Amino acid sequence: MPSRWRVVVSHAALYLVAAVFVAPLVYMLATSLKPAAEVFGSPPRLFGSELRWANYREAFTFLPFGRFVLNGIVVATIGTLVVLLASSMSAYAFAKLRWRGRDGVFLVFLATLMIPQEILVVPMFTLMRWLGWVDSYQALIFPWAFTAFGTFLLRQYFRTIPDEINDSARIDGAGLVRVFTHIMLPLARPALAVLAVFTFINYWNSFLWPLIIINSVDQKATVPLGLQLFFGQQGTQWNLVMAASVISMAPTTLLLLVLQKHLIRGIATGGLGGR
Amino acid sequence: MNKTKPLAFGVALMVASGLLAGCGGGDSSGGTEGADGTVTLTWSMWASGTDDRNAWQQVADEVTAANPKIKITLDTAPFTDYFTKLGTRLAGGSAPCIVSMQSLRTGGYTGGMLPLDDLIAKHGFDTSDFDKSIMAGLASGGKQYALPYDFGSLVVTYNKDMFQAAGVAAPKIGWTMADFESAAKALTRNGKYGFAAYPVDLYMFPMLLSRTGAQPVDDSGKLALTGDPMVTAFQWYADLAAKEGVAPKVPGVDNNFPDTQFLNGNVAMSVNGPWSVLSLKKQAKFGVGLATIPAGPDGTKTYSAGSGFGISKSCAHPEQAFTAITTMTSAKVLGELGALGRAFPARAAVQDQWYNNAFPGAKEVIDAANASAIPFRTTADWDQVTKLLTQYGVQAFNGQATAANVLQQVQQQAG
Amino acid sequence: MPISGTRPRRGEGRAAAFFAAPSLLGLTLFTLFPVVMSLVMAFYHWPAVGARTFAGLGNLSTLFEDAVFRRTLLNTLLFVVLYLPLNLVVSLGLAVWISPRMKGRRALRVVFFLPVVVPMVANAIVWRLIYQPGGLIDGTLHAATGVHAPNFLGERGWAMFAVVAMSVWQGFGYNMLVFSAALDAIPEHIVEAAQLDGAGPVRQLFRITLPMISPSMFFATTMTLITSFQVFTQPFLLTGGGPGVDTETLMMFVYNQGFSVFEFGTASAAAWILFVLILGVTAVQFAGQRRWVTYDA
Repeated sequence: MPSRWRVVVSHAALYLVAAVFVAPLVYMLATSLKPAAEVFGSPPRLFGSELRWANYREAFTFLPFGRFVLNGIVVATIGTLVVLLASSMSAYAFAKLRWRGRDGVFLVFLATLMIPQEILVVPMFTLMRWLGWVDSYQALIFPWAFTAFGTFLLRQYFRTIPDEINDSARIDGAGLVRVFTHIMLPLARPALAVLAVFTFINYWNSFLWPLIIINSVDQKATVPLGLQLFFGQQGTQWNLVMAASVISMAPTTLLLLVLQKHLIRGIATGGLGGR
Repeated sequence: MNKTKPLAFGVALMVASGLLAGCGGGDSSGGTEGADGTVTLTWSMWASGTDDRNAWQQVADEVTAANPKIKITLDTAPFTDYFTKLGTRLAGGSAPCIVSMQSLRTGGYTGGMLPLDDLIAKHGFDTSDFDKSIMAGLASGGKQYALPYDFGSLVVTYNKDMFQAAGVAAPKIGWTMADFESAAKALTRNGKYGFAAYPVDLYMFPMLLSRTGAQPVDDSGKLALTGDPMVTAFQWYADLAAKEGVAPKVPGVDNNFPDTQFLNGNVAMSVNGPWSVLSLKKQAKFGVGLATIPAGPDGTKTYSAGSGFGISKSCAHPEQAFTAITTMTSAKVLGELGALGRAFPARAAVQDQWYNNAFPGAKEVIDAANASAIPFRTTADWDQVTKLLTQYGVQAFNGQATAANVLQQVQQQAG
Repeated sequence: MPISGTRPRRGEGRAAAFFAAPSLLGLTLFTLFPVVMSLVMAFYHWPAVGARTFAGLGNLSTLFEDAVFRRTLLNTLLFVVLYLPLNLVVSLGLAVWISPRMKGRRALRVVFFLPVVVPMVANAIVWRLIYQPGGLIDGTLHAATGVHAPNFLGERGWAMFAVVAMSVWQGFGYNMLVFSAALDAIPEHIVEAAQLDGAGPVRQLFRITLPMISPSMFFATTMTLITSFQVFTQPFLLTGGGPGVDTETLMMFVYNQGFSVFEFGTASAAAWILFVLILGVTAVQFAGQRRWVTYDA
């Protein structure tokens, strides 16, 4: 029966496809180690005459790239914390507390998920001017920290936690806040992890909004905006740009590798409509 | 219920601090006054890379050294973004006090900038040492809007090593279009090209001016791209890449394309201004030479442009800002910038500093170029024009649209 | 032993208000308020600098009379029509291919998902290098055959395809994971029953697999449709909307109007047109759901 052969060939082909697929990223890595003059070679080679690790150091001195990384980390971390706090609190209100109009308000909440960023960017810019937040860290963090997505995700998860646990704690004398902090949050750790990872990646990779709102680019730019700066220079140094690009993908790739189980589960459950 | 208090505090604090933080940090009259009378002014400037930024930071420090009660906070942006954002900044209340301005764009920003004539008269500031053409370039409607720090005429930079390897004679002052074309052809070999052609304003229009005398802006200041001389010249320029093959194909929108090609040793010639000497010297791994723009039927022609520092209308401390810009354009500072190669000084007295540190033979070329230069004038919406020129122009360079077609599109949308 | 009884109901309204406050306040300030503002702006001439005047439906007519706007509308539709099927076919195909229990499955999933978490700017930068004359494709082709590759990003007829190809590469990993999870959830016994009945792999695919994962397909199609209408970063960084306006999308038009020309009125109007378009298409999706999506009982 040739089916065994077929399976082996099929698997080999799949690995080949994966290798071709990841080639651009490998190319990015390889170019980041080339000396400047060898970036465009004919025929193109994967590696230059030397492995120039100095490119990574130079990427930091050519532009204030370290500053961009710092900005990215600060913005993404604070943003994630804000999102986690706000979303978990409101998810608790919608999932576990009983109050009039709860489900109606939640529907309105959900409806706002439909509102796309393109509608929001222009008025958001005007709002930032009114608040005096143009070209500030607050503008990078807060406008996008209050979407209903986190609440939606966490509410789904909170609902799977049995009411009995809460009830017995309440009867034992615990207040609502204590139930929230000592029971709900710890039990919801997997969902919080998924939300945290998604939020961090979104903040880290965000490009359009920083492009619009940041004026003092060399001080407040985040990494994607900073990467683009390499193109504003006299003579694009492709090898340095590649090195900076590799650095820019490091945190999110690391998160992906370390937390793949959570990410995949998050997508899987989110993808099935939150069943 | 008492347990909700700490959490409530936390949340309230979070929201409040978010809003309050905005009110404090967002204030931008461009300057603040400290308790001891020290004034801190913001100064916005375009810069490319850390070296560039450090050069400007040095200038900012000089201001404080000469005037201890004035401190400068420098904020830089890449050139391509600087002017796009300047318009809203000037009107939107987040304008810096000291505004860097380019001569060719002055006309578009007079609404937000303070005319300096009164301050010049009040302080008895002597402007006679500044080059006349750049003073005029930074003025509009009879009012002076900025004090110049540099100016320069566009010239051709060439790769000496490539010329030698191909056995082509180095360009002389006043060389003609015919010389240029034959040199470009001879230098296009072994996968390299003779010239980098790209539809970016400062690099392209001097060549067109010399070729047929065509100018993008007519005498009344309106965009005029569709006249015959302009179309012919643009077609010739685009054909360098599309038909003649002496210039590489243009890969879509990439404003660094000519510089990158030149520095990589991919093309032998490119157009540039004296302000690039710093990075050219640093980055080029070959000998760099300068030549005048090739002469057309009416002799060699070129454009001059330059930059300076002005004051925004919304600046709360115009006196200190004026003092600052007089220091920033002083002979001492300009001499230092010239020595660095970052700027060709607008003050005649210190121009030697630039010459001493530039390439051999540069002085003659620069002098010849300056002698034949006219100031580059643009429209108020020049940012739009340059964007459209590159977006549409690329097609002409790839032979997929005619010059007439491209220019008409740009004229229609921005004219 | 805890006595199970009714939970205290008094006061939960107040507590709920406290807990939901940050989200609700944030949502109101940063979403509801801007949406309303955006709608209002769409009916005004609202320059970023200067006085604003009421325009009524004037912005709409200005937009539809603008050849550039009409072209960006067309470009966006073209992008969606090219991108959506390609993305779905590739992600579904790979999900099915990886589906049987095989070694290194998790590693493969991670590999295909990698470009999704890499910042789009980094992706665009490396693809610029791959596409441009003298870059990877051109260099390899020239070295192997002496012929130069087309100028993918600078030539009409190629630019949009280049942008679509790069977008598919970047984005399909997400849908692949969705489909993978759905495929895993198909009960074994159904597959076995089909095999016992003698159904070949193709039959199985169309009669069993696809219907069983149709809820996920619906989700993936809808989400991908929505995000593809909003495409901005790829064309912005790869081609700048060129050559000419060949690759300028609606979202780029909104950005240009808002932050290059600084006309907030037309920018908002254009954004709303885009939004209405997306709503319409999504509504059609939901309506058609009955036809081809089977939710198991």
